[in-house]
Amino acid sequence: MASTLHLDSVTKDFGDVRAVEGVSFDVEQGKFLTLLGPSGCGKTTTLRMIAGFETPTEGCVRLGDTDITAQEPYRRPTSMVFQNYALFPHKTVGENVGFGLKMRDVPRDERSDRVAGMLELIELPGIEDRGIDELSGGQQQRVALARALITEPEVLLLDEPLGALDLKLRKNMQVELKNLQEELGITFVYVTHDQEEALTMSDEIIILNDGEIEQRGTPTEIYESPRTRFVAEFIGDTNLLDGTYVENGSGATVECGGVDVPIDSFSAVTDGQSLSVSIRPEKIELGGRTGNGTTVTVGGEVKDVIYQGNVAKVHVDIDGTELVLEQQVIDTVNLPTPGSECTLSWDQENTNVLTG
Amino acid sequence: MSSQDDVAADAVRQRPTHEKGTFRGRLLELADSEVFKGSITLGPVLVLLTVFYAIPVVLLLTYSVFIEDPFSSGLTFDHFGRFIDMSAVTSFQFGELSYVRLLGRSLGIAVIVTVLSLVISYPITYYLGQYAPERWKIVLVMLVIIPFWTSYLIRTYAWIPILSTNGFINGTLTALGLPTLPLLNNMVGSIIGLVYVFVPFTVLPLYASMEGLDPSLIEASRDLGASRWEAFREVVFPLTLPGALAGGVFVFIKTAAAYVTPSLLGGTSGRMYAQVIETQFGSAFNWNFGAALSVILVVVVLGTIWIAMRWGINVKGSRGLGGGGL
Repeated sequence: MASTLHLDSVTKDFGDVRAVEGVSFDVEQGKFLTLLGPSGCGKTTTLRMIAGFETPTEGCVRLGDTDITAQEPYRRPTSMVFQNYALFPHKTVGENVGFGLKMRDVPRDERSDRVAGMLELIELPGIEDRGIDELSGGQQQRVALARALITEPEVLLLDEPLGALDLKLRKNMQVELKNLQEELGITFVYVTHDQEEALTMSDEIIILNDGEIEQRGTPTEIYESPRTRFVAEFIGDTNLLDGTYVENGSGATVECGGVDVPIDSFSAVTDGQSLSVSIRPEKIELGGRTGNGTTVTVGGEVKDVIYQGNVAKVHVDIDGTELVLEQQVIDTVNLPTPGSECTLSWDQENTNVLTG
Repeated sequence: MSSQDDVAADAVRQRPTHEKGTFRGRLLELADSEVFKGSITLGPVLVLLTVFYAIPVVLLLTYSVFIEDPFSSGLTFDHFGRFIDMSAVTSFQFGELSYVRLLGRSLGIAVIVTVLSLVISYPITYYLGQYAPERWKIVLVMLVIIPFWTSYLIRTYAWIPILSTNGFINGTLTALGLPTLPLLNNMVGSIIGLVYVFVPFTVLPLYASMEGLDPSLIEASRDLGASRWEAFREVVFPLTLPGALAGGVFVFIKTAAAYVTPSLLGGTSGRMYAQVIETQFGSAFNWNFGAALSVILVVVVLGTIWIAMRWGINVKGSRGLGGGGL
C-alpha cells in the first residue's frame, strides 16, 4: 500500500484572488512533509485541497495511481487534524474518537476496543466517557489526533495543530508527533508558520510564498542553503548583502558596499549584474580562522554587543556595511567591546548566493 | 456614633462618601442603594407584566371556577366538566367529545406546522449561517423579516386568491390539464397559512444557532467518513437543537392557539380550538366556559412542551442542550 501523494500544478482561485499557483510536489509514503510559510501564503488552502474541502481550479491531486481531485472528503483515505481541533462538543471523548468507525459501520464492540487502543496510544487511557470541555488543551490535541488516526488513513493532514498550545507543551508534542509518525509509518503533511517547528519535525520542508513554492528541501538544505532572499529571511536570522557580481579569473566576488564577498563563479549572471548573498550570523567568527575550506577574512569595527544568555550578537561595521555575528558565550570576559577593531572570518562555503 | 464622627472618620480614611443629612447626600445614597437599582431596572417590566399578564390570567382563572359572575355566584368545576363529558367517556362515545377532539386537532395542526416550519427553516438557515457571503447575510435575513412590516391579517387574506378554487395555484393546474386541489377552507388552508406566518419565527433562532456553528466541525465529520446526511444527523442537528427548540416551542404555542388564520383560510373542517373560545366569549356570552377552555389550552400546551423538552434533553445524551430550566 505504498502510495505516493502527488500534486500536479495545482492552482486555486477564490474569485479574483489566486491563493495557490501551480504547486507541484510529491510525498513518499511514510514521510513527514511540512508546508511552511507566512499567513496567506496558500499553505492551508493546499492542505484543504488534499483533504478534499476545496477543489483545485486547475491541476490534480493523486494518491498512488488514483486521481482523487474531485473525490468527496469522506471517500478519501486522508484524515485531517484541525487547527482548533474541531472536536464535537456534544459527544464524549469515546464518541469523538470512534466517530470515523461509526461512519464506517464498524460494530459497537470492535469500535470500543479500537477506541480504547487508540486512547492507549495517545497515553490517555480510560477517558472515553469524559466530555470534551473537561479536557485541557493538550489533551484535546491528543484526542483530535486519535480521532483522525483511528480510521487508519494513508495520509494525515495537520493544520497548525500545535498553534494553540503553550511553548513547553508544544515542544513536547513536537517530539511525540514525530515519534508517532515514525511508529505508524503514515505520511504526514503538516502546515505551520513556525520555522522552528518545521525544522524540528520534518523530513522535508516546502516553503510557500504568495501561493508558489519558493524552495523544497530537507531542514538542513533549507537552513544551510537558502536559494532565495525570501527563504533566507524567513528561516532564521541572516546577513543579507546586496551587491554587484564581478568576475575575476578563477573566482568571482559580490561587491557589497564596504565588503567584497568572494564566491564561486556563477554562470547564471553576467559581470556587473546585481546579486544578493546571505551569510548566517553563527557561521561568522571573530578573529582569523584555520578551517580546511577557503576562508574569507575582513576587518571592521565592533558597533554593538547584545548579550542573550547563551549567545551574544555582535554587530560589526565594515566601511559602512553592517554584519551581525553570533558568538557562543563561554566566558563573558571574552566578549568584544564596542568601538574596538576586529577581524571577521567565515568559510566561503557558508556564503549563499540568492537567485530570487 | 454621631454624624460628625462619621465625617471625621471618613476624612481620616480618605474615602469619598456623600455628605450625610443634606438633600443631595440623601439622594446620592438612595441612588446607590440596591433597592433603588433593582426597582428602576426590574420595576417597569414587573409593572408591565402584572398589568398585562398576571391580572388577566388571574381573571381568567377566576371566571373559570364560578357559575356566572365571579364572587356573586357559587364556585363550580362544571365548566371543566363540560369540556370532558364523563358520560361520553364511560360509554366510549368518544365521538361526542367535540371539545376534546377540537383541541386534539389544534394540537395536531400545531405539531404539523411546527415540523414543517423547522423543515423549511433548516436548509435556509444552513445556507445563511454557513455559506452566505458575509455582506449578503444581513440582506437575506432582512428578507425573512420584511413580511412583518405588513399586517398579519392582510398577508393572510393574500393567500385566499392564491389558494381558492379559481385561484393562482388551481388556475395553473387547470391550464396544465391537471385536476384542481382543495386548498382553501379546509385544514390544508390553515396549515399553509400558519406555516407561512410562522416560518420566520423558526428561521431567526435557528439562524443564530447555525451562525455559531463552527464549520470545521462539519468538515471534520465529512473528513471522518460522514455523508452529507450523516453530518447533519450527527453534528448539525444536535448542535442547532437549542435554536430549533426555541423556535419550535414558540411556533407550537402560537399555532395551538391560532385564531385568525383558521378563521380566514380553514373553513369548517379547518376549525381550531381558539375559534371555539372566541365563540364562548363573543357570541355565546358564556365567559365562564370560555375561560375554562382557555385554562385547559394553557395547561395542555405547557404540559405538552414540558414532556417534549424532557424528551428533547434526553435525546442521544445531548447534554446541556435546550430547555434546561423546564
